Amino acid sequence: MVLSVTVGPTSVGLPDLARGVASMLGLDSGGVPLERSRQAIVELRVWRALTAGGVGASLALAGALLQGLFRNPLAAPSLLGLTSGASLGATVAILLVGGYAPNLVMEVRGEMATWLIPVFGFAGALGTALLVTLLAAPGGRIATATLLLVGIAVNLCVSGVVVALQSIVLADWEVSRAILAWSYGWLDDRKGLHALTAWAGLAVAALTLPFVSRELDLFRGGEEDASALGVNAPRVRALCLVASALATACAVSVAGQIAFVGLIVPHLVRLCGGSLFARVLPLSIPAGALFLVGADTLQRALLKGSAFPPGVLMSLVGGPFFLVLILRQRRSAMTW
Amino acid sequence: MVARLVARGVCHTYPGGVRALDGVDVELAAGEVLVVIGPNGSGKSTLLRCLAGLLHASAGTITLDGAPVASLPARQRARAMAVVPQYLPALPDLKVVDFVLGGRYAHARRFAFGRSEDLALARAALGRADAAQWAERTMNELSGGQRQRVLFARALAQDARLVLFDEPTSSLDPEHQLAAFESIASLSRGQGASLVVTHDLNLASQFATRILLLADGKAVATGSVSDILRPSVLEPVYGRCLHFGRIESGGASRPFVLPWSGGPVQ
Repeated sequence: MVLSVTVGPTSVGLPDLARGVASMLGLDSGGVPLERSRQAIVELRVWRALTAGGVGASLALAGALLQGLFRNPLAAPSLLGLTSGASLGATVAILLVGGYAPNLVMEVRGEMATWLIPVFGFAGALGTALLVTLLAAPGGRIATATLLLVGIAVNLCVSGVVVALQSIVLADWEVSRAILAWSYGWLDDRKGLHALTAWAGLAVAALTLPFVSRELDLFRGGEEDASALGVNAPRVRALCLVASALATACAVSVAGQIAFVGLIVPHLVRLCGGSLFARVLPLSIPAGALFLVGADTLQRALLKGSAFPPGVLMSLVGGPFFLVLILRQRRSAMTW
Repeated sequence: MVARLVARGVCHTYPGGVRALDGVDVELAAGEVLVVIGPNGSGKSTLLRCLAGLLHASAGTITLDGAPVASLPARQRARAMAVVPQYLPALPDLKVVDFVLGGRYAHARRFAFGRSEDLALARAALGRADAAQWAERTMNELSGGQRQRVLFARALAQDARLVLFDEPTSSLDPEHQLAAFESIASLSRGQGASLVVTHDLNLASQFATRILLLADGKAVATGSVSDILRPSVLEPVYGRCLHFGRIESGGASRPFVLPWSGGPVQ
């Protein structure tokens, strides 16, 4: 985290970092305050690193929870329509900010975009997850396989709506660019609200761990088998869905779509720490934070001013990495 | 406490309208090995799942020691009643001992699961099922028969008074088929009881205290081994594909039944 703040086109030394952080916290560091521009750089990087950490941890935890629930190592937060729902919410917010609803809303520009896009992204993610859950459980009982299929179908539909909205405003360069940037993931210009949102979602989701970690290990033989062993399967299923939806919604609402973190990090944790969910779930949190902050720091150090958006970086690095992982572990990956 | 599982008029209809059970009555009391037999699709496994509270019966009542099974909290139900499924997926990366430890879940306090005493009980259960030698292997390294013995060990670790077995010997060699049924019989002495779904009529002949014959979701007959394993009861259900005989051993006489297509036997 510290390294992430010091690395970038303008290098920031540890003493400057300490003074900058002290100033952010309203503490008197005892020395000369940083220049305004330098203080701004420190603040931007601190919020960027904190947001990246919270987002990486949230996506990794959500991925691990869903992989356990669906008993499928390819499960990821996008399965429940969360990321496409967040995309839809954010796209609508960007259209509003861009002035595409003159008769419906007041002029919302500038500072308002800071919170409007995350709020709409969050509502879109949770709204879509709710829709998926309701469609998959018409009689009140959720069948996991049905949930998976409904999630994929809703994901496709919502993604189609997002693309349709994008195509309508294609001629508007500013708005199109904003939508495109959000869909690639976004860690620039993050503020305290963004970091707080990501970590708050993670904290609430993590509260479920004592009630699902051991239980997901018993889910491996199927929900019926777990139920015969004494697991309250409907409760575990509901907790996993709510926790992963909340963590993902908070993460994507502040950082846009970042693929592969939720898929890859649980795999890495399993490689290093064994396959028991009692270990994989809690370890996914620091591993996810380290993974996204580390990748973001590394590319800023290597590419200097022309860093990729995190979503692009994860797809470029994560895709081939995941392929290698699957090829190396082909046998178990196919039968898990 | 003496176990007693009672089901009255149990019906179950699957989505799509297939009626798998149609008014089945079952009673299982302490000391019994109740063997459920019947052709494929007769409703044996559905009955087992309903009795275990894993499937909601669409009609009828199922009670365990007087309490409706469906209303029992999952942990309480699992402490009283264990289920040994016929089959589980391969489960790579899961060590056998960790799998068997799952049997202790219903007994452990939250935050205390997996303590050394539970681990010791899991290892002891593996020993009783003659599976201790595979404790450190992963589940996908075991054959179907070895996995069946590990499933048996997990039920022993669960330490329930009632154990419901779904075709527990379908993948076992003759030596381990006998060992499995001997264990089932020993579990059922005293205050325990077992219900075993099987196609093996000869193991039923040796170990059942009572047999329930199902056909088309209905309980066709129930009674002692000699009452059920005879042509007048089985041929209307299975057809004329069986040869019936008796084995005399140790002063006792038991029926045996062979699938047979070779015509009358002298």
